[in-house]
Amino acid sequence: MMKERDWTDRALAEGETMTVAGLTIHLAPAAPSCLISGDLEAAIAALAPGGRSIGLFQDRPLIAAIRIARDRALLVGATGEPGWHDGYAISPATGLYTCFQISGADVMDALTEGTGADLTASSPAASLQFAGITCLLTRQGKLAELWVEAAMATYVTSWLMGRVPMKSA
Amino acid sequence: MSGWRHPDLGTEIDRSKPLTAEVDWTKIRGFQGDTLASALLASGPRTIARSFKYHRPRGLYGMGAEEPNALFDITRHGTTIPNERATLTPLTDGLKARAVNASPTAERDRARWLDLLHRTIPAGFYYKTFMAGGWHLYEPRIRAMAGLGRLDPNTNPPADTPTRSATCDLLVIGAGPAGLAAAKAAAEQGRAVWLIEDATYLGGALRWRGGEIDGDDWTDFARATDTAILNSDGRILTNTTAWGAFDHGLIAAWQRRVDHDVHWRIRPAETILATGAVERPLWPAQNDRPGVMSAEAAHHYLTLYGAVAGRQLLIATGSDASYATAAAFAAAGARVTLADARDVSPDAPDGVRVLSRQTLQAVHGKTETWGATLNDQYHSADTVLVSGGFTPSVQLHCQSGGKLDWNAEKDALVPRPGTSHMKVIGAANGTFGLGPALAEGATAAGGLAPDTPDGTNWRWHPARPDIDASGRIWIDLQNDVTLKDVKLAAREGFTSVEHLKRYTTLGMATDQGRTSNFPGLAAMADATGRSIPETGTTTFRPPVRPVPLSVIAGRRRGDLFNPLKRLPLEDAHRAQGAVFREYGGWLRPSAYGEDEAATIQAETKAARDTVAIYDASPLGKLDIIGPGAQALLDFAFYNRLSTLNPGRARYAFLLRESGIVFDDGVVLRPSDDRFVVSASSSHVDAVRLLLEDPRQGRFDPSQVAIHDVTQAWTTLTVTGPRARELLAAVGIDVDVPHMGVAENTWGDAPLRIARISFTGDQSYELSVPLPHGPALHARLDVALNAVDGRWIGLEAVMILRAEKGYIVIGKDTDGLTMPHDLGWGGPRDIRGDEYLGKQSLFTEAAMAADRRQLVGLSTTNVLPTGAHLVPLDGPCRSLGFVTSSYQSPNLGRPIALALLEGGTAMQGAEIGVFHNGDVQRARVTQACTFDPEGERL
Amino acid sequence: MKYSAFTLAREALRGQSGWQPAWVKAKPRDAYDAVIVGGGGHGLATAYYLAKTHGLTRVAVLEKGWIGGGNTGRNTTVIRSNYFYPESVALYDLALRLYEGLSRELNYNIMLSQRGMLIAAHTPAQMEICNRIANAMQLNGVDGRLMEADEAADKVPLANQGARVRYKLMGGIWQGRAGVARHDAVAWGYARAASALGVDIIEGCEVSDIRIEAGRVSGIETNLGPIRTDRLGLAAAGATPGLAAKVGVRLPIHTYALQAFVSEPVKPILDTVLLYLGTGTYLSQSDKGELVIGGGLDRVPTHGQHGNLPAQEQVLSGLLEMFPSFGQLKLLRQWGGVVDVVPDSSPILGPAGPKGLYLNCGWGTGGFKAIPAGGTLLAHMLATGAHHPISKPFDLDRFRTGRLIDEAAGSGIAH
Repeated sequence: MMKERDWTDRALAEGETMTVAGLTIHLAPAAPSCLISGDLEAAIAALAPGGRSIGLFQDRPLIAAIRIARDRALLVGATGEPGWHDGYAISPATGLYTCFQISGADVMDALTEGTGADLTASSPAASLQFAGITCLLTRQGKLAELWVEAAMATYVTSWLMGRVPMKSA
Repeated sequence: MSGWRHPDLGTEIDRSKPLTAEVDWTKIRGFQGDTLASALLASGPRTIARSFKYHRPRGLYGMGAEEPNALFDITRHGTTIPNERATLTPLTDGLKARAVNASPTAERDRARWLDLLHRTIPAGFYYKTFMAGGWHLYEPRIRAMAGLGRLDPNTNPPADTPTRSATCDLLVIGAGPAGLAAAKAAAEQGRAVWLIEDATYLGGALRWRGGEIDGDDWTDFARATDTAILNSDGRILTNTTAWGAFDHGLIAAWQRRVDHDVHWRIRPAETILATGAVERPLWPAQNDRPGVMSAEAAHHYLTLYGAVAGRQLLIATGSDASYATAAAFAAAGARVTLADARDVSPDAPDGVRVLSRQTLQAVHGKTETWGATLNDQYHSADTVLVSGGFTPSVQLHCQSGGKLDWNAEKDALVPRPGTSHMKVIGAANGTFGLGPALAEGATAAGGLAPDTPDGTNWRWHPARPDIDASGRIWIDLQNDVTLKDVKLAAREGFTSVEHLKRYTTLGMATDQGRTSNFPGLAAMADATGRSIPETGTTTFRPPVRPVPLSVIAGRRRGDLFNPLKRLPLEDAHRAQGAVFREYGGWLRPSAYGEDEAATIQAETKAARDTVAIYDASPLGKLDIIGPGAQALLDFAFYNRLSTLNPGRARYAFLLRESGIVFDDGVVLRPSDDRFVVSASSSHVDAVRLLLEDPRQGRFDPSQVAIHDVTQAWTTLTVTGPRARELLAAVGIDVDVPHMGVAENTWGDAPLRIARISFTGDQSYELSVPLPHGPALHARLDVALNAVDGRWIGLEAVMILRAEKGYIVIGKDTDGLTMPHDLGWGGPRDIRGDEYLGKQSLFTEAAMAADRRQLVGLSTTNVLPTGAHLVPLDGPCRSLGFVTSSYQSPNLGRPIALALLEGGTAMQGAEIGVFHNGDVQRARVTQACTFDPEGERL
Repeated sequence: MKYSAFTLAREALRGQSGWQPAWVKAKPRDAYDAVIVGGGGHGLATAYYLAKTHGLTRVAVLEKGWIGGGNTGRNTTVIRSNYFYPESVALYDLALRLYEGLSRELNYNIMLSQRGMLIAAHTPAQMEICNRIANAMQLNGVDGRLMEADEAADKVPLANQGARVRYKLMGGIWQGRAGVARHDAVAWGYARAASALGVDIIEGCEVSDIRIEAGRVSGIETNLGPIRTDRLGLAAAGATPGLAAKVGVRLPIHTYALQAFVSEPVKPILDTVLLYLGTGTYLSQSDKGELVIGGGLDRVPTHGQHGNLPAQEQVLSGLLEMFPSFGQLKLLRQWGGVVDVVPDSSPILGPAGPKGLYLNCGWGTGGFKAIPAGGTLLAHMLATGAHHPISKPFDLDRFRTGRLIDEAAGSGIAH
């Protein structure tokens, strides 16, 4: 059998930080997380009282339900027993998403390369197409947070590392 | 006589920075700021190119993307790009240019004798001959003579063009007077305006014609526009071409920068199109001679670059607009005669001789211009400048669905208001004149018209090709389409505009019909006795101007092209010596050793001798949770799942509506309210969507949830006779029945154990949340050595499952396989309730006896996968094909699976196996050849 | 008037004044023996074969725009018969065999260039699929064979063969008789030949309704007036479902945009037709020197004859991944056709609804290569009222009986 391509690119390790021309990229350590579906309000009240649901590019508190779809969210910072609870479902999902925290002078520039979504207009769900794959996008102040399913972390790392920065023309 | 460099003129050039370049091995000189075209005009020979078909000598005609002749293969710093337009190529030091489709040079082209044959090779001649013997006899020569530039096999442009998305309130395309006025008005109202402009400078024609706006020089107005835009959060992109208008208002633009280009995708709330217009030529006989130029282009070269087209100029025109051009050339020191087509002309500018009621009938010359005939009189000239009117550049309006109307007063096809989402202003809208353009622009953006003394709306005496004229008259310069060709097309019935274009290739060259579409349309109208609107117009499609493929392709190459999903334990597997391959969108170990063939055999044997572990993480895991889960799964699956008890697992099929098997896998039920559906690793999302459809459309979605947690778990499968021993050694309790599932812990980590087997040996699927995967892997690795076990890759797993006759969807099933073809007819016979695909299982075809069914094959050698099964006697036809085939180390012989017509009834029979012309024999067996009783489980 | 080098030379001396219209632009008559709706390749070929093979000349082809203006004028011109199921191979190889003699038969150079087609494989799994298809072709009597990596690489010398290439060329299937032809010429050639035999080709004629009497087609309504006929063939691609619906026939067809791309012309760089399984991009180089490139469908159903940026970016990046040096080239033209896609990726040929109505549609992305066969088979049905053995498996009824011919699934290639 003929040898196939050698894939040598690597993902950022958890807790690792890299700087690439105008961008600092940090892979946040995995916080306890779970997927919740159904009555999201009830789920949040039970698992993360005081927490709230956030959408596209919205400010994320430490415990937040990041909306993925109309009735599904990624609850970050808390988790619960798997299964059905009164009106909502829980699946433990710690590590399902890797969180790329992107800061630096070129953040918005990097984001406008990855997505055509209007980040000023917001959207109830934080899902978007970024670099050609489905991701979630939130923020913390000036830090952009790109949530990528674990198996695509290597690709996103390569994509971010290889970006062609634009000095203002 | 050729062009020359004026000692003082030239707003774009920096005379303190001289440059040299080489064109067809001849050195030419220029300055920083020149384009290759302006440098050629100022210093080079007249003949700089050869036409495509007839190889006629050609010179520079235009100033931008409409230039039909001046195409070169350009080499810069050892990198060659073919088919570059000299008018759009900045001059750089050391640049080498070779005229395309000319050999050895444009001046001394060897193929120029072709022009002598022109009568035998009119448009479409190739449809009428080359039939004897077949096209293949003639094609190689034709292909060698066709094509323009030459690709350089050694130049691989880097994949470094980034994409950028942007939104804005208002996008103004084109920074001529109309565009500037619109952008300024909008910006002053506080709107975020993006202004994009093709050229390196703002102003459009103002740059060479000049003008006064709001009491000052137009440059002040441009500067004020710039300031206003930047102050209200807008952006100006020069050297940027908007080339495509797509659905929902998306505009694609190509920005050329010194460091790298950019592929813009802009979504404005509103778009204003101010893309100007392109000057039309005139159509005397021999109008393609070097030395015939667009008047506007010549004026442009004079003012911007000090490149003067000639010394004795004849300007043939039908409009007041050309008088400024004549005056400029006279002031620059050229002798100028202006031949006006109209009866009444304005006063002659200083130094310009004006003649009225003139018809330009012919140009004379060969590799340069000698003179022209007007009203049967010969006039000497080394340059003939022509102005036949202007054609609005409406491509983007049309690309977004806009329609055009013929406006006789403007002598142009202009956008019909309201037919596209764009507002069109200025020359693009047929508004030719500074005052009117400024007014239209400002009004479109809700502002007030700027002031200017120049309030004229230019009009042209309508100019058309004369279909009764004698002599050779070119309509499309680059593709060598003449007026006679248009008449021929009319004579032969190719009278619709699209037929005309396709038959003659008019408008299909790299200048995209900018100077040829209109005269072609007018000539066809004339030849068929129709009006222009009756004759129609061609469609415009992206790109407005040729765009490098590398710009559109962007960075999506190599690592970034169709990226694979990666295992969290990839490094750990590499450390074990794994060789990786692509499987269903994932990068997975094929075997743990460089000599794959031998390693795979050893791994397959070890898995049944002692114990083996493989990474099964990519297998889909969909949590189905809630009181509605049972009903959903009963509907979606072929097998009933509501009868599955908590703590148990069941093998089940998903069918499509057509009854065809879509996926197979084991469904776990860890607890009463939770199921875990497994999905083939290559189509997890497809399975999820297949389930989402009834979840949302048929059932109450608030009662059941579907969570794709495939990538939340690391799954390692331990399989083999010593599996239990291994697990005990690492402290995992294996008191789980066959086809059972238990949720325990391992240390402080949740651990799910499913005792299901894809290998036919005792197998335990251990799943832990992702963060705990490395620890589990490490612990198992240590224990593996102690029991003489090994890590195995996917190839070994494929053999193990084949020994048991277990299928792989898409490999052992084809697009027609139904569950009963695989021996799973039970649910079809038993189930009375509704489930996905049910109806299709009872069609005539579904019930036929000759369906292709899964069987095993026994042979003496390993069969090629994809070999077909054929009868041993009788006519040779396909009865099916080999779907999986391996050497089995555990059976010590080859094994194979196949789909065979009526296979179930053919147990023990001999069959032919056809591959690449050869037929060998095989015997039909059960699919399962190893431990058919399942004792090892 | 015969086309030949002689007549070219003669007309050269006569200032091209002797050429005749390629086809007569007819006005509709009151009635015809058979009417074909759709003046694309399939419709025009049907008319030709009705006249030539069956002697039926009181025939009209109705085209709402200009002939050959739909998918026939918008495709990537590939002709091949490297299909999987014998029924498909019979169909497409019939077309290929007819194409092989077509220029002589029609006295019109369609520029058939049988330069071969390589379907390239990049993984062992794809090579297994190539085995499957090549063997199927051979059993069906078609010239298909396997190629190993070296031989395949020789066919496409400029393909990316570096170690880091995303898709390594491992081999593939070769069909030597496959190739390309000049698509417009096929339409014009058939039109000229049919017109010369007396068929009426009527442009600018749009059908608005179909009339039925006693369960049989009795005529049609058009913008140029009513026309009586009891034999009606629908070969109008994306417009066929709408027409069929008028007589209560529902067709399992969805329409999508399929984009194609053309580069600026360069001297020869690619001598064969190529389909890369890994990227789904396929390409060839026209005789004029332009690269003609295609790929997968735009995923959103539409009737708009254009496409959008994501599909473009995908196809063109796939091209450059395979041929990095092609990054020197510029995109000159892009267009979209509207393709009528059927669930099993095979056409629909056969009677439907009232007696006398026959369908030729659902060709999806693969209609051009089948034009001579589609024409032959629809003509056969219109003339005899019965299926030809080759058209029978493609009857609409197969959706009821379940006897689908699923090329995409069978071959493993997206269609």
